[in-house]
Amino acid sequence: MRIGRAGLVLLAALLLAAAIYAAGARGLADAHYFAARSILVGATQAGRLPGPAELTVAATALRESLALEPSNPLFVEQLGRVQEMRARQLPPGDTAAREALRLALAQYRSAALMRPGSPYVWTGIAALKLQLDETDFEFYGALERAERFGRWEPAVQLALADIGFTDWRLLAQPAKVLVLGAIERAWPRESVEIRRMAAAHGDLEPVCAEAVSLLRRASLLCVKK
Amino acid sequence: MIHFIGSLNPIEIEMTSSIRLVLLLLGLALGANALAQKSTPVATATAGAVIAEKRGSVRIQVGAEPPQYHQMGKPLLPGTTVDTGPNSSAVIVYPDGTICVMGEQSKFRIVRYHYDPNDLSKSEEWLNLISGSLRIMMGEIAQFNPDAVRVQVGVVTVGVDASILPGTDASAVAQSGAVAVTVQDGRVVAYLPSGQPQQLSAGQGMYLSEDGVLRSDTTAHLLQLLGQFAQGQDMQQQLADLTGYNQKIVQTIITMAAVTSALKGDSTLDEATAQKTAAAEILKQLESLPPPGTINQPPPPSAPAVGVAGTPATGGGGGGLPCAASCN
Repeated sequence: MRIGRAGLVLLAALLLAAAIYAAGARGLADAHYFAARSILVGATQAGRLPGPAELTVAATALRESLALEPSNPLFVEQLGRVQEMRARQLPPGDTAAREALRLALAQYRSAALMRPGSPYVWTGIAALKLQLDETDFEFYGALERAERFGRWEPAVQLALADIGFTDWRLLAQPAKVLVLGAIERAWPRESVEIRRMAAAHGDLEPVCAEAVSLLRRASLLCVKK
Repeated sequence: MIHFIGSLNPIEIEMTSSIRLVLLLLGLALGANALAQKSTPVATATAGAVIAEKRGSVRIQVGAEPPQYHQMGKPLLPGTTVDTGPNSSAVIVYPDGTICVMGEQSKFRIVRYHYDPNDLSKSEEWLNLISGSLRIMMGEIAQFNPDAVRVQVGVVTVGVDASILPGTDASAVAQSGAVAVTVQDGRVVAYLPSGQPQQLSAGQGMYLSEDGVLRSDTTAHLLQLLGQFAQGQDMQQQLADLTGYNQKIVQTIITMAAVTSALKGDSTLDEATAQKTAAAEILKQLESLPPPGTINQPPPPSAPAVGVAGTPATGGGGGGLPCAASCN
């Protein structure tokens, strides 16, 4: 009887220790993640890309997070973002930049496997494929899933609009319809931002030429203020 | 034309396909044999293509430069977009023997192209039919390094199945969000945006509707299906128009066999025959292309502006708030 009770206490103690360990590991992973995120958010709020040294620190912190909690898709996705930022600091088209983009894409693919319902991950995949000049079935599939899962997410709407503005004339028609739909939904809140983003990409004439026939309400974009 | 295609039964289609296959092999043999004379060590890597023949209005656009009407004799570098107008067409040839026939009102882009006759594992061919119609006869790269070949048709990616030889001959139409692919010879794998692969052998075809519904069947049945609705009739017509290029394709295959042979240094184009004159003209244009390493290809699309890193960070639990284009 006493042995049985001692066994139960021991088991409970072991379970408690395991729970404390797991919580501690997750807490530590979160702490590393928070450190990385602070660097990225700080740079974002300052309107600049993090410097190479900051990216190295962020990447190291994220790797430590992943070592403690390898199945957290957020850490995987964030590491992909850091690699993408590295790529953006290199000359466009450079072999090293392409390699960094490929590494980022691999991270995003892993994140998509872990969390297939995340519109952010799919948007990231579509944006990376576009930068790699690989508008293939994976690109169109990612775009479609981003729209399906993040239809009403403002950041996703803006990202889809941005992808459309970046390479409008080379997109297949279903992607154009999807982009115009995102613009239409984002318009009531984000019209100023969308106009500014469109202007940053230059000539809107090709978009406007097709907006009228594809999705009439999205052609609001083309009305001069 | 619709009646012409509609009246072809599967046996007739198969016979046409077999005749074309025999002609293809004959062409390749004739081209190679007739030209196997002197040897000049020309074999160099080439990155680019040539419009061998065109009809009507054909415009080209390189990167973000304004589009301009194509002038014969000007080769096409990777990154070039080719547009055909109404009642227009273009036959684009590549040094590895790939032949693309663009139908009217089509937009096509050479995304990447690199042919190294000395090392086909380093060769790559990535083409994109953005809209309109295209018939493609795959060349040497597809035969020896099929993984390096991708043809994007609207939202569908078409790859080559290496287990079937000789060269693959396929037609594709991308129109108003729908895609149709038919295979005349060889075998292809079409990847849908869902990631689902669709194997298509000679005499088979597929149709992906605008709302993502897939139909695959024999070419004859597929063409019948397309004839049952308005948009499909247009696509059926475009596929029918592409079959009208059979004779032109056979001639081009023979010409390109001569070009490829000369590029490899296996023969020269000394004799003054019409075929060789055409081949010499193509060869001259291909040789005028700068070596692949020195080509200033238009830069890939710039990173989208949303968020500093281009991709929006996961919200909520996430990676910081996207600050949109204001960050850049």
